[in-house]
Amino acid sequence: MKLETHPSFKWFRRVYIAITLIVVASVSACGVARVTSHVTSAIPPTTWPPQVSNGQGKIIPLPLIQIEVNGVVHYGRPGEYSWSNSVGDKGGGAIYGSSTAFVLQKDQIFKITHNQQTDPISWIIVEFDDQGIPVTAISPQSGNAFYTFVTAGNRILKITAQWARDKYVTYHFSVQVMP
Amino acid sequence: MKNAKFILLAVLFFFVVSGCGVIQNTPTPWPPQVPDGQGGIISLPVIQLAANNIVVTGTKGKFLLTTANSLVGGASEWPPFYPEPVPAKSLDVRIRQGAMISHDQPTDPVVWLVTEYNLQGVVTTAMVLPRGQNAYNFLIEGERFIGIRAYWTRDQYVTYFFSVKVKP
Repeated sequence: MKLETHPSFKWFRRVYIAITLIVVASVSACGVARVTSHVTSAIPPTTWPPQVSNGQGKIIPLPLIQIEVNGVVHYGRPGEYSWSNSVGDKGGGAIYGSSTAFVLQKDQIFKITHNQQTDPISWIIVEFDDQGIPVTAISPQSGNAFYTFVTAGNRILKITAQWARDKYVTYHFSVQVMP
Repeated sequence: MKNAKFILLAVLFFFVVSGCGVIQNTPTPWPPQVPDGQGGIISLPVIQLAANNIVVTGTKGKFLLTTANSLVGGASEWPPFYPEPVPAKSLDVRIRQGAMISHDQPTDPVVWLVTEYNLQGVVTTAMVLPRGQNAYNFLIEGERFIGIRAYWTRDQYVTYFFSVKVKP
């Protein structure tokens, strides 16, 4: 009996081909991920806008807060929120997605925007240093907000947009501030 | 036999009612006690606000504590920044008069994060006070709430909420 026609050889060949295909597919996927990782700050997470439960068995999209710099939109990591819509559906809690740090220049003024029809009554913008300690907090009232980093380094910007007492969303942005 | 059951039920009822009464009359522990994550209890740092020789303690809000063994003490995650329940005792201050913030720990926090709200629960002011600056000036008249969070490290902070009447 020839080796090629032996039943065990056929079985091994199939397994070998399957493993080879899996390895090739995995390596390709990793390569694509590495190439695209340079621009992930402008790419939102897979489920976007973040979906949250309204507490009544329905899923509603969470309002978005974005940072806009020179036409490029940066997305943050959603955090605490409380949200009610016009028909009284309510949702609240905290979700924690992931975000990639993006680069901004020190003293560069950037815009903080939202995707809702009406502007928030108030923003709460808290800047944290690389030790996780707040260094600056401001609360612009209404409209789109503007901010600028005055110190270089790794920063977290925690931005809350508040439409009412129990209607707000919070996003966290990781920023590498260049001198 | 029937009488014995009745007596037993009556005795049980008496103990339940007495127990409830004792629980109701037990004062809330102060400083607030929180689980240390190891089955024990630790005391939460206290923040107070003072003006015109009146000192008030606030309502405990969100906190995070890491003990000497690097264990997270506990966190009350909700509500994130608005007091529930609203502090009962209000502090009278004059506009632009500094209210003094104090704490009961051996070392000062590195910063205070102060958030001021109107009666509708909307944030009107947020600011960071650096170490050593313990006075907060109210710039808007009327009834306000403020949340004061003391940071010792990123993993060690406590928040208290205060009710304030700002007068001209």
